[in-house]
Amino acid sequence: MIGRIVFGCCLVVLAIAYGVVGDNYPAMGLQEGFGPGLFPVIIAGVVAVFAVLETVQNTLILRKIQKAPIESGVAAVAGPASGVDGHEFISSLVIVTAVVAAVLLMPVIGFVAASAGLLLVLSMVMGMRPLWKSVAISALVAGSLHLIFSKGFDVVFAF
Amino acid sequence: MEFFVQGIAVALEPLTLLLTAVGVMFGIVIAAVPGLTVSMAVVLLLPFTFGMASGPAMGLMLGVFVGGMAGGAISAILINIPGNPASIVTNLDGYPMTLQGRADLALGIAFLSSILGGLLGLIALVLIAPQLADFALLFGAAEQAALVLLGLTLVAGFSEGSIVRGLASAGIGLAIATVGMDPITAAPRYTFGTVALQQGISFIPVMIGLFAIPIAIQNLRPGSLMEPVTIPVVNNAIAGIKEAFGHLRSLAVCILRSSAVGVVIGAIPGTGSAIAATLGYQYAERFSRHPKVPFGKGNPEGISAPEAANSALTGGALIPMLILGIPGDPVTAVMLGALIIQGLAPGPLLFQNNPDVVYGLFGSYGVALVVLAAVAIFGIPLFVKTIKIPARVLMPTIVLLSIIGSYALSNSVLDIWIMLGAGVLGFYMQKWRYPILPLLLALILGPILEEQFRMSLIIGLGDPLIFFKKPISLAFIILLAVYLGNQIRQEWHHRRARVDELVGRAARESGTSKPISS
Repeated sequence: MIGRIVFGCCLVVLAIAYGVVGDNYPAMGLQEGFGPGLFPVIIAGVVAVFAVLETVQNTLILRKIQKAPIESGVAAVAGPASGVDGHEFISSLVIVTAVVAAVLLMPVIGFVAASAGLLLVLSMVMGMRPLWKSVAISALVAGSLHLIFSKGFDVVFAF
Repeated sequence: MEFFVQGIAVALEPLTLLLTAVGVMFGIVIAAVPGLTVSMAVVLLLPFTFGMASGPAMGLMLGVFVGGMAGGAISAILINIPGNPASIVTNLDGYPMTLQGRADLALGIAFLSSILGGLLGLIALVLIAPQLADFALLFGAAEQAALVLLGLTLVAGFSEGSIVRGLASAGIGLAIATVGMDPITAAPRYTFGTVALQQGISFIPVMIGLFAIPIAIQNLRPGSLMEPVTIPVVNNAIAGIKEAFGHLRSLAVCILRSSAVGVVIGAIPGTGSAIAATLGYQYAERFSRHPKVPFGKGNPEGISAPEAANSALTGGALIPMLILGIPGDPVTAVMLGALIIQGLAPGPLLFQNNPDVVYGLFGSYGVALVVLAAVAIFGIPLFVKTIKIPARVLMPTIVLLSIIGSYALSNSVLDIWIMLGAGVLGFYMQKWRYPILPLLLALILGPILEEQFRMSLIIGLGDPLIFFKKPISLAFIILLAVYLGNQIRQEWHHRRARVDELVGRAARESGTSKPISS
């Protein structure tokens, strides 16, 4: 619940920032009143309103939960149920790091090597053993995909 | 009429035919494996279609759509785990039948209902679409803007989670869509001086990220997607189909009714296959005449209704996508993307300018149903075996395909970063119950919305009331306001009531420290 409230607040702040930047885009001549800045400002308003609405609602609910008797266990149900558990947070970190590393390495060691490395790392994280099997499968998949896309679909892997 | 014949001819071209068949089989497999979604499958296939003509591309995607709606029944019936939201209630009567040793019949009924439901959906599509297209030709800029707004609101409301979050999500999508050049004056917005962002943020990498990455994140842990489970042996699938035919007369009304439900639900943007299936099941329960077997214990209608509904949904969903360019669900959103890449803009003009594409699509839909029938007769045991696909190979491959797919669009590394960012955003948004479909649709439709909105203002000489002065536009806005007000009011009360209920129940039970299951 707290995560949601924080996200809601961030959203409000971002919306306002977005709107302020948008408002500064000059409308030229006949476009007075509905230039490039019009839509962003409207959107900023809409998002801000709904983000505020959502945050207010969440805060009210949080208050109710906090006032509830501790033995009721309501907090246990309404709290973390919508949160991100530790496992998945780490998974998201792993995937992001692996992808960033792979893409940054592609100009250096080539597409096939970098993607095979990506596949290797991810499959090992998922528990694939033994090592030689992971390497073989990763190389095979990376190589095949490279072949399919570069020969079959004329994609140029120039990083 | 000659269009229809032309359409069949397009659909039967060798490459198109082959890809449709491949699509159906692929869709069935993906749907049968719990944890993989049909929208993910379709979005990862999208880059493969970049180099194709529209016929094969649409055939492939339609095949996956049709197969995907049918395949979830396999795991629902055999192992009590729906593989796909479309089959979320199929296990209620499907699994009991398996336990009674009648898995063959259950599968037969499921596939038969899927085929017939799909057929009825196709008929509805062919009959309704051209009429609606004629009506849509009357739309001017104001009507189009109002319609897109209505569509986005409906999607925001029907998506999982509250409408308030859905609208915030749509707003985020609209904001992302404004990055790049202004549609009317070409002034750069939110580019922060970079050249790369002047092209804007393409929705395709965002789509790939939103549909594929959260699945990879959720499943990235040791162990396969499926716990090792004994899958019942299905050895007499053909007999099952024959037996299902025998039940056809008693199931006919159910199938007709459920298909109607499916088409209507499909046509409303934002409602998905789960809703169609659930509603179909509930109506079947309510209107079933003399059920010899109670629902939940192996009543054939309990399988037939949801499966017919979710297959008819395909036909219904294609209506707003093709006619109005407003996709109502993830798969049609991807198909829309594919059409846009092909240079074909869905809408009433598509019917006028490229009838071959439209009727080719209808034809491919029909072909997909035939392939489904063939698969049902010959291939069920094979597909049953595919439920146990090792996730350790699959998940990393999905990540790599997402990278390649985003890059392949315009050979741009920036698109890969966009994809990744969208994926992470999508994952956390899902966790915090912000629906992602509104964001995606807003991103796709945002430029059109803004362009039509400002055009209306220009045409109306700056008068914002123009949206209220034109009757069709006014009608859309009234619908929007009524729906919006009603939903917000309902949800506000519902959420607080639910917490009150939890607290109240807890207070009554206090003294025991067991957690409350909601």
